[in-house]
Amino acid sequence: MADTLAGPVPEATDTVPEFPMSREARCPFDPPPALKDLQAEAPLTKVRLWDGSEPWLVTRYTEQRAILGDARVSADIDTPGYPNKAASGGGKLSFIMMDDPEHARLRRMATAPFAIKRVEAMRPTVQKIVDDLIDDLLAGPGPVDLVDAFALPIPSLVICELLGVPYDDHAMFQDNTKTMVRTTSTTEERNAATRVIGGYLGGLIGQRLAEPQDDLLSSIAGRVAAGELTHGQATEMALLLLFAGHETTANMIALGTLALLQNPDQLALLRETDDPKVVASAVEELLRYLNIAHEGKRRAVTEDIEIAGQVLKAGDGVILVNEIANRDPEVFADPDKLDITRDARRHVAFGFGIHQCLGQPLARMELQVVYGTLYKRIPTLKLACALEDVKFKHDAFIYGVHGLPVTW
Amino acid sequence: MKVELEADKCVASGQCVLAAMDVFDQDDDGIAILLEEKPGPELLDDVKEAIAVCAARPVRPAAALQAAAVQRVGARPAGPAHHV
Ligand code: HEM
Ligand code: SF4
Repeated sequence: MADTLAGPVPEATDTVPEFPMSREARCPFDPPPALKDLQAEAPLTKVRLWDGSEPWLVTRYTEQRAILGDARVSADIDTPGYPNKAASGGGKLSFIMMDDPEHARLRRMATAPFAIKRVEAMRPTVQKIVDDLIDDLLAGPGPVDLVDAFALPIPSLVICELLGVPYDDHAMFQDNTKTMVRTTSTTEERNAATRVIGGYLGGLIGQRLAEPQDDLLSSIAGRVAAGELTHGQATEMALLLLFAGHETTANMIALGTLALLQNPDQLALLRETDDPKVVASAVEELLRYLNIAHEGKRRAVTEDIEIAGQVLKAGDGVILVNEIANRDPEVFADPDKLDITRDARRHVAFGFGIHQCLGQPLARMELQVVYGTLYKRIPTLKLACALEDVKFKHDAFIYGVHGLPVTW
Repeated sequence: MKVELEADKCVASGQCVLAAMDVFDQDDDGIAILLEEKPGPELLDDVKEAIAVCAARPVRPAAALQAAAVQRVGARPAGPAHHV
């Protein structure tokens, strides 16, 4: 048969690969090799999850964008077929797990502060936060943990300012967020963590109902007053924004720094440039290369979809992992190479379609300030342990490093 | 080139503004607005990029431009499971 001549025929077995797969210890920045193999084989394939269900895994960029942009898929965990991440589910988290039109109604209540001009207006504040933290680093002795001393405080301070959450309470929401994203947390642990932050934010919304201020919590509270949201819905929305606003960007800062330290030629380009375009391009490339939202976007099919010679049936689950879409050789030449000069703007690190990251303008600006400042101010920055001793977050829904000992 | 925008589909990602500042802006809620319905040829590349990155695809180009943008993304033919 012509097919046998075209290449090796996959083994005739009915074994469906288990998902998620493990990264290779020696290549902590690369997707699991098994995922790359599946991508080379087909744009769509079935995988088996912890609960024995067999959703589709979408391996390639073009098909991922097509499905994420399709109204026949649902992001609601209660839709039949939705591929659950863990036995403990993770619970519903406001509009990220809703479908239109309710998704759009709620999302639009939170879009205003993330408009480009509003985000740009925050740039000097972010620059000051970054400069002050670097002053503190340089005033003390090395080595320090860059995660605790720098990567986590920056986005936490920024999202607190935007929402109107007192930063003094950061230990509480950071610790509980860690429990929420840890893959091994039990249902009880995850629910308890969600309840603690939820109770806290619900209280703040109550305060803003009584005394509105100039912040996003107050405008969310205003929707409660207007009868557009229940207090519970408002609390969930605040929780989503606080959670997504700090954990993600913090991981990009620490993991991005480590990736640059491992690629000194790329770090040198960034350190030596005064061109904001080069810095912006580096941010896009690091987003493409690192894919911290590595657990895969999850959807359930609500009406049959024909794509790439397959039919996704209503009731099927779909998993879309950006870490391989962003390494698709059809779209990004030499995809496993970190090259901050390439045009990576079309990556899907922020997702695609109606759920595409709401906070992306803010995340971009924060990362531009960080990557554009840190390595210039501390040109001798270096890892204070062996790469093998860095603990990567293989056990979290959002990838990164648990700690990053650095010195200078 | 003529650009159309369906504001009710916009998810306020701001990507069109980053890609083509002379053509797109956002209202107070972050929803995209068109500054220039008929951008000149010097803006063609920027507008193509805006169309390619727009999450919700509410930006509608004239047919010719759309074709060009789709080609750049590189659609791949469907194949059997072991098609490489
Ligand atoms: C570099 C940092 C970030 C990355 C890589 C990232 C990634 C993502 C991804 C992949 C999604 C899509 C999820 C899906 O389709 O199921 C998403 C959605 C979202 N992100 Fe981010 N994010 C980042 C920063 C932020 C920040 C700073 C905020 C600020 C509050 C934020 C808020 C949100 C929200 C609210 C959604 C849900 C959007 C919707 O469902 O309509 N993110 N993010
Ligand atoms: S890129 Fe598309 S979704 Fe994003 S703001 Fe522009 S028009 Fe709206």
